[in-house]
This record gives sequence, C-alpha cells and structure tokens, in this order.
Amino acid sequence: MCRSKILLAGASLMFACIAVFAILPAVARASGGPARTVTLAAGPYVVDVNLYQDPPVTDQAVEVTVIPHDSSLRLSGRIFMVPGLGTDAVELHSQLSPMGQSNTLVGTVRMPVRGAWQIMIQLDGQRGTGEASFAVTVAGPGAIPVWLGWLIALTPLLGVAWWLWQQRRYRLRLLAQAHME
Amino acid sequence: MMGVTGGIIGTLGMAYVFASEAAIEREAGLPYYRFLGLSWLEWGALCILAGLMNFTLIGFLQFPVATFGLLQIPTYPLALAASGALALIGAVRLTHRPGVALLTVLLLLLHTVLEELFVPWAIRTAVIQQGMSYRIPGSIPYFNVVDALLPLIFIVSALIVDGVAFWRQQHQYKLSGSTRGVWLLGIVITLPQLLIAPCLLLSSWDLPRVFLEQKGVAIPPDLKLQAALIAVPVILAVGVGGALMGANFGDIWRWNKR
Repeated sequence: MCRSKILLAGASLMFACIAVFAILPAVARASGGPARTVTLAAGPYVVDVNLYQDPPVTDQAVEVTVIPHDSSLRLSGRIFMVPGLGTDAVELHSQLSPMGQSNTLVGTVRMPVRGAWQIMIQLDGQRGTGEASFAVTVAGPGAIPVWLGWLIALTPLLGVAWWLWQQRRYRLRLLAQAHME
Repeated sequence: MMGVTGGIIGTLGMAYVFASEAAIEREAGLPYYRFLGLSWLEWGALCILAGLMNFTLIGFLQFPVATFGLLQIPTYPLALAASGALALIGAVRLTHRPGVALLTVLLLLLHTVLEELFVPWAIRTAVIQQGMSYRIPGSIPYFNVVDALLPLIFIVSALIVDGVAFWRQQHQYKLSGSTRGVWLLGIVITLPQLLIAPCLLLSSWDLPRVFLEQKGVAIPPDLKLQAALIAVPVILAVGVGGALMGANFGDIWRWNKR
C-alpha cells in the first residue's frame, strides 16, 4: 500500500474516532470532581458551588461553577470576594457566565492577599435576586513556582530520551550483525 | 513521577536480562525444553512485560490531571496506550511467535486477579491482627472485579498484534527488523483501548465522561468536542510512540546477548 493511502486510512480512522466520541449524548458525571463543593441557599435558589482549588493560592485564578438544583432555572450572577477579619485587602468581584446552553454558571476568583475571605454569590433569575456566601482561607504561594517543580520532576526524562536514542542506534548495529551472520 | 520512571527502567532492565539469556540459549543451538513453543527464559521475559503493564495499571494515581480551564484530562490513558503498545509489540518481536501478545495479556490477567485476591485480604488480616484502623473509616478493601479485569482493555489490541504477526508469517515476511508501518499498527491497537477503557472503568461507552470530571455539570457538546480533539490525537500519538518503542526494544531483546 502506498504511503498516501496509509496516511489517508490513519487520518480517517482518527477523525471517525473523534466524531464518535464527540457526539455521544451523555451527561458527564464522573467519580472525581472539584476540590470543594458547597451547597448554598441564595434567596429562592438552592445551588451547588464548586471550587476547583482548595485552599486557593494568592494571585492564582481558580475556576468556580454554580449549579442550580432546579435544572429548569436560567440564572445570571456575580461573585464578590470580600476580605475577612484581619485580611488587609479590598473587595473584588467577577462575573458569572453560563456554560454553553446549560444552566451551569462559570466564573473565576482570584484573591491577591492570603488569609480569610468570604466568597459571596449573587444570583438573578425569574424568582428575583438572592445571595449567599461561604468562607475560604487563601494560602500563600508555594516555596517554588509550579513550573520549576515540573521542570525538576521531568529532568530524568532527558536521561531517558538519551538512553532511548542510544538503544535505537544499538538496535541498528544488532540488526546489521544479524544480517551478516 | 520520578519513582514511576525508575520503576519502568528497572522493569525494562529485567526484560533485558531474561531476553539476553534467551538469545544466548537460542544462539548456542543446544536442545532446550520448551513449553507452548517458548523457552523458560522467554516465559520469564513475557512475565516481566506483563508486570510492566500491571505496573502501569496500578500506578495510575501517580499520573497528574491536565487542566484546560474546565476540562480535566487525566494523563493515565497516555501511560496505558504507551505500555500496551510497547509490551505487546515487543513480546511478538522478542519471540517471533504469533499468539504471545494474547499470552502476555493472559499473564497480566492472572497477575491482576491474584493481586486482587491477595492484597485486600492481606490488608484486612493485618488490620485485625495489629488492631489498626482504616484511614477512611468503613472503607474496607474487598475483591474488586473491575480492577481484576482491567487487562481486558488490551485483549482486542493483542489479537490485532497477533493477527498481523500471523499474517506476516504466513506471507513469509520477517517479524522483526523493519519499523515501517509500525506507526499505523500503533494507531490501530490504541483505538480499541480508547473504546474499551471507559466501558470497563465507568461502564459507559462515553469517552468524554472519563475526561470531563465535573460533578453534576452538564457538559455541552462543544466542550466534549474540544476534549476529544485535544485528547484523542494525543493518546493515539502516544500509542504510536509506544509501538515504535516496542518494535525497537523487541528487536534488541531478540538479538542482544549482553
């Protein structure tokens, strides 16, 4: 089979596979999940608030999703980050926006000072406005940056790559010997 | 991650030991005992390769989750694809016998079933005898059918590898030496793993369900497409890499006498 036909077959298989996976009509509900989930009653709306890093770290954006228990609700809202007692900072806010066509709201929180904070969720919908809050403690930055940690952890892979390269050359030598014999 | 890398290199080293002894035995030309067409040293090498695959199965917690905004993609399928392709293709090239890929998966199945029978029992017994308490109260380990049957992920891939080897043998082609077309074999054997793994792990054919770990969040189709577009080509590429490594290692294991 010529190279172009092989390439075409491989590409077709891959795209067929992607298409099958992409159109499967199920709702994703997996065993893992966010770092922390809080159920809040924000006025007339009962919602689950998912925080994707707990504790949040200073100056790092953390994803937040707000999922109403009543799946027919279409809400909009905002997140307020209010400094707690002893935390020297000012109030911040960010917008919650709907995720695709679903009723889930997505936003991010980013707090610049470590210590106690209140995350306040303000929601608007057909039943009016409601708000609720929960406390988080923002942690200080790590001893080394995340990228440096990964760089150190992946260093041995350089040695592995060199070893693989050597093995590839060794294989060619072995095959040449085998052909001569 | 460093521990995992060290473990894999150590296991590959053991495969080198068994394979080189088998090559010396083969080269000597003296009669030696074979079981199902394989010498004991080749059986040893296959057991080690099954052990390498089992190491990947049990080491999944070591693999980080790559986060792209709301997408959370576990990197575990990458390790599965790479080790499966490496071990299955390597086994066939080492022994030059069609059927050994399936045999390697059966050895792996034996390994995981015995492990599932022994480890939970040993933990329960140790807890009772030493008066310890579980880290998560009430979470007592028992035989887990899904964990025991995880090697079934590789069954179809093994049949494909054996089928290709059988076809090549029937048509007088060599089973080692060339790496042409190995990349295509890598793609073809990784695809069934992509389909069977979610089915086994979550009793679902829905691959995005494995990737998009969002509690209670309804994932919109465009996000699913995005996940598939990122993950599937990457996993297939890793499968190709594993297949090429398997072909290279398999040839070395076949001829290396050091």
